[in-house]
Amino acid sequence: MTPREAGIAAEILRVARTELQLEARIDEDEELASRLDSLALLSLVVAVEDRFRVILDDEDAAGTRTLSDLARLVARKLDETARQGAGSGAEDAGSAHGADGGAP
Amino acid sequence: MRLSGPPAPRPRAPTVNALLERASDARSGVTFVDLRERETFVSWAEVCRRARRAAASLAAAGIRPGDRVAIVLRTEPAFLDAFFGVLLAGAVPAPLYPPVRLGRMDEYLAATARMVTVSGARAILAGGAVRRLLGGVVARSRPPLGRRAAEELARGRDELARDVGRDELALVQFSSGSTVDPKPVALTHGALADHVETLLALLRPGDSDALVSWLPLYHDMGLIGGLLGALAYPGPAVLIPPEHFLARPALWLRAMSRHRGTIAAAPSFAYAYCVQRVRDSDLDGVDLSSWRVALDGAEPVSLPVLREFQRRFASHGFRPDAMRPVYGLSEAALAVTFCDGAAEAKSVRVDPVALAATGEIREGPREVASVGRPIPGVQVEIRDAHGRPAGADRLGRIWVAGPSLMSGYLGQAEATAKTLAGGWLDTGDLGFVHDGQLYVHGRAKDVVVVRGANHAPDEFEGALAGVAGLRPGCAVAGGLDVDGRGEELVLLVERARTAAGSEPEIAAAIRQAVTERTGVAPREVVLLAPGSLPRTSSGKMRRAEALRRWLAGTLLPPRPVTPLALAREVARSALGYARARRG
Repeated sequence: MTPREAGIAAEILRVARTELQLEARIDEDEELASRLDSLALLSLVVAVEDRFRVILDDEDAAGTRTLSDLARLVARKLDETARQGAGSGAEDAGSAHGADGGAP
Repeated sequence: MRLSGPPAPRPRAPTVNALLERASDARSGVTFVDLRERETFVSWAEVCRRARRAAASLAAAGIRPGDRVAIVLRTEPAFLDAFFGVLLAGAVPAPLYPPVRLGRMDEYLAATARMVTVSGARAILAGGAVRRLLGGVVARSRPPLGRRAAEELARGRDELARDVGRDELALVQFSSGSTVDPKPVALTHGALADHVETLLALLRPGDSDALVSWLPLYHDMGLIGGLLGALAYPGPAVLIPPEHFLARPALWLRAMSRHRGTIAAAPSFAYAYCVQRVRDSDLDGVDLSSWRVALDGAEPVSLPVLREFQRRFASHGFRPDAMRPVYGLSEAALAVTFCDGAAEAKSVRVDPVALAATGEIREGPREVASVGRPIPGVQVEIRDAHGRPAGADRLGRIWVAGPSLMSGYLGQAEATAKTLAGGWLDTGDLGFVHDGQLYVHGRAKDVVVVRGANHAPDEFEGALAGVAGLRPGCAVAGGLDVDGRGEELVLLVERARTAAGSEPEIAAAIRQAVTERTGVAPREVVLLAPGSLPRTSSGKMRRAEALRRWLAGTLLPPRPVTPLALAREVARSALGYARARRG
């Protein structure tokens, strides 16, 4: 992972802990599905979309197995959103929390 | 012991298609709420118009009356086009669950392909990216008309609304049973129309009523109890995608408040989830005083959870008398018994050990919730081990008769014959009648119910294939309610004689494999010496007996991996114990 992706991964873990109260330890190259039950996985996808203001569609997510995959996917989505210009492409880009590259 | 509900009401319309026709000028409708609480409203009149167009496109695409059509959509407007469009084309919708999105895709595609195959679906309706993903499903299950775009169904100008008979199939649902060997529950138009009429007779909706639901539309409670109930009335339904509820459970309560919701249903786990996960800061100004019926079903009702929910949300106006434990199953369309609001939820305290040993109700520590009395038109009978009616206060198998039973498991005569006999349905659940009310306590069928979802034990046992250090095929999965808050997964697994690796390593590998393949994390993994599990004479695992012995401490496991001495004490009084005696 690049430093930016690592930052996003750290933020995903923070969201999982504080918003979803997921206490499972997740290593970056571990299969998410082997750590989180289906309920936790479902809520993690939605919480990540919400935090980063991106849409992770089903095709993108199909190839996403580990935390580092997920961080890379979010980074790619943020880039796409930025390219499309705030407000015109992905919905809500640039509003409230901002599609600002993720990790604070 | 037999309980009979009051006479069934006369249905306002004979079929689901006729219900749709009745609603074709209704101004109320369905509101979809997303994660950011943006709302999309579609009136019933618009739902009907779009469904007629969708029916015409489906017919043009080659869908014939009676064809099954699989629907893989989330809680979104396109679901209504697809579901009602299939019905108006005279065909039979089979709603299937959409993918979870992160991982487990292989298992998902395999399970979906099996459901498409056993439902005999001629086409799959899905939207956008999901449709592209389902290529693998089509390759395996080969529906003749392949995948179709749900978002384009209502675009044409032609309209179609076929007449259907009451005896024709209206729905194939998969909410019960196994992903390995899925059982397609087939319900007729007459069964559904009668059932929703009965639900309306129980709920007596008026002008100010509004349903708010996050329940999946591929499950009986959300589809029949929610969507079809609101259509039949017709009145407002506010729908939240289940994955959004799971990420932010406050959405449900906030939507109740915003829409002055009056009716909502959920399994016990969802009420517990709200207590744990909803923050006070999410509830600023939230007023739940309009909520008059909070149904609790789809898994064993947990009284501690209901009381916590009442306490937690009382300050927001939640009325304690709104809580209604109910009982039902997809083979009976949805509901079997219902608690009338007149009395507060009743419960009895029983001795589960005596109950398991003798079938008699004696005073004891385990509190069991009443699930009320049979709904109109339905009869419930408790039968003993010999299939004869059992007396009051005697534990036995729950059988159900009524107008809305399934016609059978589609295309599975043998499985149907095991479940339906002489107009009666064997629920596979255990229970007793006390003071004219039904109490459900345990299960005779091998099913693990985790958070409202039914799982066959072989799903979990099969997930162990490939874990090193185990005896192949020598494992038992069961459900156990340790603390009265719902069932959790327990795995009893025999080690190989010459197993490499330490017990904690093997147990961790088991947890990982089961979570990954099934999406359910085990509560307890117990490693046993080879030969510890009881078997039948033909060598098959005796699941119920194995769980019973483990609870009783007579299975003699060398060491549980996470010792739960206390939990086991409590678990002696658990559901699993009563279930075990029938094995």
